[in-house]
Amino acid sequence: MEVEANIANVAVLDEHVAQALEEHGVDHKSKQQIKLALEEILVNVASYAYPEEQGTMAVDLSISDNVVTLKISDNGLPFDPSDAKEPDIGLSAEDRDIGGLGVFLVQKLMDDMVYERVDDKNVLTITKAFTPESA
Amino acid sequence: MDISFEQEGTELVVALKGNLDTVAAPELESALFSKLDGVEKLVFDLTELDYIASSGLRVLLASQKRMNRQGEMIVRGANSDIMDIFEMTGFVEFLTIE
Repeated sequence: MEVEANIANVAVLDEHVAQALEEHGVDHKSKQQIKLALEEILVNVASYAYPEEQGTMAVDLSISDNVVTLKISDNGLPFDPSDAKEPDIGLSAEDRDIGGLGVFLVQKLMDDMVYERVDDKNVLTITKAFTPESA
Repeated sequence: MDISFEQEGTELVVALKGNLDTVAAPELESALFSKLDGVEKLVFDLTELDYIASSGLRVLLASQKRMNRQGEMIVRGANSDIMDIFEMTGFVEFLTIE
């Protein structure tokens, strides 16, 4: 599926992915975590990939052997989220910076996150193993 | 997301229902911050909140910073998914969670 890289499309993406996860019996917790990871990635692409113009983001979902794989790609500026500075989570509220948590959450919640630059595209692949819910 | 406010004296309770996502977070921040003058106790009731994204965490952090200057802030009713996010991000270190 391809959408405009705009945060207004959070719900559209979520609906599309949630339905597929539901059909494959993905457990509730994993579903919520995948929803969150996808939202944070969309926010990043919408914020950094296309400073000059509106662009798109494509999401390719596959599920096999109880592992969800999401491949998210855009044609925007090169941006490797794994380069993002990790927030210091031990600080008090006063010393905490507002921001930097999105990519951190993706890395924490997913089993793997791999960035590649392929044919002038940013391609981010995230994977998450799940426990299938009994039918 | 549904946002409802209940004020009694200097105590303000904000109850959230649904998803505190990137679209809802700025709405919450502007609605909430317009009501904080004179508030000494701010309570976030998350009993009916299903989900929080990093944009929602930022609103909680900004609210905590503001309330540190004028009173106290309490978070109550967070479900286990949201508690996991608070733990993962170190928010448990500075939030007062009931």
